[in-house]
Amino acid sequence: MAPVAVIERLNALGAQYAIGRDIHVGDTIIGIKGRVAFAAPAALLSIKAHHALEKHTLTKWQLHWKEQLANWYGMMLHEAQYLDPVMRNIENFLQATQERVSGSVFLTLHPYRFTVDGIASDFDLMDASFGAYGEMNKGWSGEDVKGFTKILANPLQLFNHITRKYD
Amino acid sequence: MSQKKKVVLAFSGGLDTSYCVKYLEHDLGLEVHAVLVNTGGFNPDELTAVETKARSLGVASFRVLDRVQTYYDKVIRYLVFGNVLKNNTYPLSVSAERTVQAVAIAEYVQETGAGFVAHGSTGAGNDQVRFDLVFASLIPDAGIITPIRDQQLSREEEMAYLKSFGVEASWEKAKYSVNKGLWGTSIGGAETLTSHLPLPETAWPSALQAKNPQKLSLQFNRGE
Repeated sequence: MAPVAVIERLNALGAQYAIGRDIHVGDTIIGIKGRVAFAAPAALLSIKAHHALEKHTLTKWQLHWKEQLANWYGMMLHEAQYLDPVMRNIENFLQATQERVSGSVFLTLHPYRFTVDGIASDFDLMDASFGAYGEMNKGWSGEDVKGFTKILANPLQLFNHITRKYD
Repeated sequence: MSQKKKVVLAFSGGLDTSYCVKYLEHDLGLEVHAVLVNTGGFNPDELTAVETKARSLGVASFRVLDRVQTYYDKVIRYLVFGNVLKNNTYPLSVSAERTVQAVAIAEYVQETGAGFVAHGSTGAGNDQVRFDLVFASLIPDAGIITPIRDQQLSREEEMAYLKSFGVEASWEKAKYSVNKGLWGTSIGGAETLTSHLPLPETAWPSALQAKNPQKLSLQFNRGE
C-alpha cells in the first residue's frame, strides 16, 4: 500500500477511535505564544510506531543525533525556513538513517488512545543470543565488566580527587 | 484588447479570500486567477463547491493544484523519519502543508506570468510569514498583495463590501476555525484563546464511534 493511502486509512480508522487529539502550545514566528487544538490520528500512530521500530533497529548514537537534528528540522519547517539548503542536508541524513528501519509494528486502538504493543524486525538489535538485559550474559564474563567499570571510573575518580583537595 | 495585469490569488472559498477576489478585481483593477492547493484537506465534492464559489465571484480562472503526493514526498516522509513532534506534542500539521502550498503557488505564478500574488493571511499568525518568505525567495519580482492583513477589516465590513457587488452568500460565522490536511486537522476557537479550557467534545472534527479495541499492524520498509 502506498504511503499516502496508508495515511488516509489511518486517519479514517483513528478518527473512529478519536485518537490523536491534543492541544499544542508553542511559539509563533512573530514571537507570541499560540495555543491550538489538533486531531492527527495518522501522524501520531505513524510516528509512535516508527519511533518504536527505530528504538529496536538503530544504535544509541543514531537515535541521539536523529533526535537533535529532527527537532531542529521541525522548528525550521515551522518557522518558514524550509527552502534553506541545510534542510536538504538534514533530510539526506535522516534518509540515510532509515536503511534498516524495516519491519512490523503492532498496535492496539482503544477509545481516545492507542498502545504500541511491540515490533518484529530482521534488524532488531535486541538479539537474545547476545545476552538479555538483567538476565544472562553470554558474550562476556563478570571479570570483563569489573575491568570495564574500573576504567570507566577514571575521569570521575580524578575529578573527585582534585575537588576534595581544594575544597 | 484590455491588458489587465494578472494576480494569482490563493483561494479557499471562505469570506476573507472571497473579499480578496472582489477587491483585487474592482479596487485594484487586476485580472484574478484563483488557485487552491490541495494538500489532503479537500474531497472532490468540496473542491467543486470552492470552484463554484470562485466562478460565481467572477474570477478569470480557477485551478486546483493537487499536491498531496508532493506533500508526502517532500515533507511528511522526513517528519516520520525524524519522529517530529513540536514541543513533544504537535506533528506540525499546518506548518508543514503551508510551505508546500506556497511553493506550488509560486510555481503557478511563474507558469501564468502573473505580476502579482495575493493571499488572505491576517497579520496575527505564522502563515503570512510562510507565504511571503517563499514568494520573496522564489518569485522576488512578483508583487505580494495581502488585503486582509493590510486593511484589518471586520467580517461585517467584508460582508457589506461583497453585498455591494450583489454577493449575498450566507457566510456562516463558524464557531471554530478548522484547517484540514493529510497530516492532521487543527482547530482554533474561543477555548484555545484561553490557557485553561479544553475543546468541548462537539468541537472535534469527528466524534468517537468505535468502542471495541482493535489490533493493527503497520509495515515499514526503510522507514516508510
